[in-house]
This record gives sequence, structure tokens and C-alpha cells, in this order.
Amino acid sequence: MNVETVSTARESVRPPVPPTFLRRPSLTEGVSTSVATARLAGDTAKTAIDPVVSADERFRLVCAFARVRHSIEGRDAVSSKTAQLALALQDQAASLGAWLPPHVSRSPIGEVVLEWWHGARKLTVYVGEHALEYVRVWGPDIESEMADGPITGGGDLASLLRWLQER
Amino acid sequence: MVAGAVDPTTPLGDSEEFYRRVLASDVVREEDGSWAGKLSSQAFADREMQPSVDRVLLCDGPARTQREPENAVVGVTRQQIRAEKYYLKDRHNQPIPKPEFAADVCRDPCPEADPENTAHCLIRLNPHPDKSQQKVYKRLIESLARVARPRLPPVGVLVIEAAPE
Repeated sequence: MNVETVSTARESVRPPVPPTFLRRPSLTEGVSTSVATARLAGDTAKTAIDPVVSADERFRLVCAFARVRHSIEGRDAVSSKTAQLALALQDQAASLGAWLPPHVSRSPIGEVVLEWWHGARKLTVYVGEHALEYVRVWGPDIESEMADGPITGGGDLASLLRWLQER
Repeated sequence: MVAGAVDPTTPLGDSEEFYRRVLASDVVREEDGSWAGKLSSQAFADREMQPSVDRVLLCDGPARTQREPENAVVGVTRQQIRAEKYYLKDRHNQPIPKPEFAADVCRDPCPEADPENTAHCLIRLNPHPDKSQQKVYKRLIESLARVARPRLPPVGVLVIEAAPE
């Protein structure tokens, strides 16, 4: 039987290229480890520090993104392109008011997984080379306490972050 | 049932607990470095969408499941796994008959990748989703990460009592 999941907030449609809102040059600044290292060393004049994420947090994030570039038990390595997209998305999230850096891990198929928690609420974003998808979680029930869908623009990310911060 | 009273062929009990190895990268620590049991959803991620677990009754503690000292071990019961519910529809958007348990544990002793492990089991969805249905699996691992409880922290990491949400 050809079956498919239902009750998702939106149907997933994989765009052929990375979302345009992540291809703005300003969002990919500061991707390199050297920049983060310079920040950690206190050389903050060369690049604008994100107003929300501190230099130390930023350095830890960049290290986390560097770690996912290596394959480990049961998990594919994340491509350079995917890692840069994920870091750009994190920058976007920070600029939209994400008050804490996300937990960074990887899926078995080489996606970067960004996760934010706020009380009982949680937002997970899967960053692949060609698609961004989210899972919103507010309880353990798969059917009634979770929603998922694609992220196709900065507006989607902003509304997801607003939801996360609501009380 | 108690340890020693079962062998790998003994049917699984409803309240049995299972260990899951959690890679260090999926252990979410607090700011002070301690661990309150918070997990990344990827703690239960699996390429084949059937995460491996070890039957506690056949384990001599969680150390074997841990493998490397930087990993953690969490526990999840069969009741928690069987409590997972999800719904599938066919291509005409009609619900398909629900199985008794949408998720369950099945015995898989001595798999090729771990031939000495008689306690090895798999968490499986019923019906097993194909690659195009990863959404439901992504929800399942979110839920499992939420209900699993710490059993062995990474070496050197203090486990603290989780604050109520």
C-alpha cells in the first residue's frame, strides 16, 4: 500500500537549490574557524559580533560545526556546503532573536541538526544541502504534540522562533 | 522477570527496560557541564530507522552498551515505546488500519555488526516507514529522546536532577 504520513503542518517540497534567504552574503560571514579563533583571542574588530551570541558561544558553535564534518559511528560526514548553510541559518536565527545558541549534531544521512529548547517547547531544524525542515515539539505525543514542515524563507524561521519563545 | 531468569529466546516483557547508547555529541549538557538527562533527538537516530537497544535483563549493567567512556547510556521501557502513536493514510488520504502498537521492540540477538551481543533488540515502527516517510521517524526519535532516562553518564560528567518543566 502506498502510504504517507498525515497531520503535518505543511507538506514537504524539496526545492532544487538552497533557500535564497540563506544565500545572502552577509549571512555567511564568519563561517571560517579562523574568524572564530580571532574572536576568541579578543580580536573582535575585524568582524561584527552577533548581538546575541557571545564570542565564546560563537567559537563553541564553530567547533561543533567543524566536528560534524567528520563521519562517526553510523553517521555520514556533513558536507562543507551543508555546514555553511547551517551556520548561516544559525546566524539568521540569532539575528531574529534566538537567545541561546542551538545544540549542533548531525543526522545519519549528513544533515546538520540544530536544536533549541525553551521550557517544554523544542524546535529542531534539519539542514540539508537542498532543503530545510523543522519539527516543533511541545510534548511526547507524536500525533498531537508535534508539527513539522519545510522552512522556505526567513519568515518561516522567524515565526518558528516566536513560537518557541511564547509562554 | 529478573536478570538471570531470561535467555535471548525469552519473550519480551511489557515492562522491560532497554539500554540505548548515546553518542557524546547527542548528550546535551547544562552550562556548568553537568547532565540533566537532556538528549538531542539524534540520540535515537538510525540510518535504517530502527534504533538498536540492549535488553537490560540480559546485560551485566550498562557499561557494555556504553562502549566508549565519552558516550552515555539511557533507558527506555517497552511500555514507553508501545505508547508511541502515529497515524498513516493511504494515497487517497484515508486512514489505514492502526496496528495494536505503532512502535515496539523486537529481539535481534547477535547481529552481524555486534555478533556477541545476545541482548540486542531493535525499536521498530509498524508498518516500517520507507525513506519517503522520514517525517514520522523524526517525530518518533523526538519522543523517545524526551521519555528516555539517564542510566550511565559520560565518564566525568555529573548527572543532576532535571528541573520540572
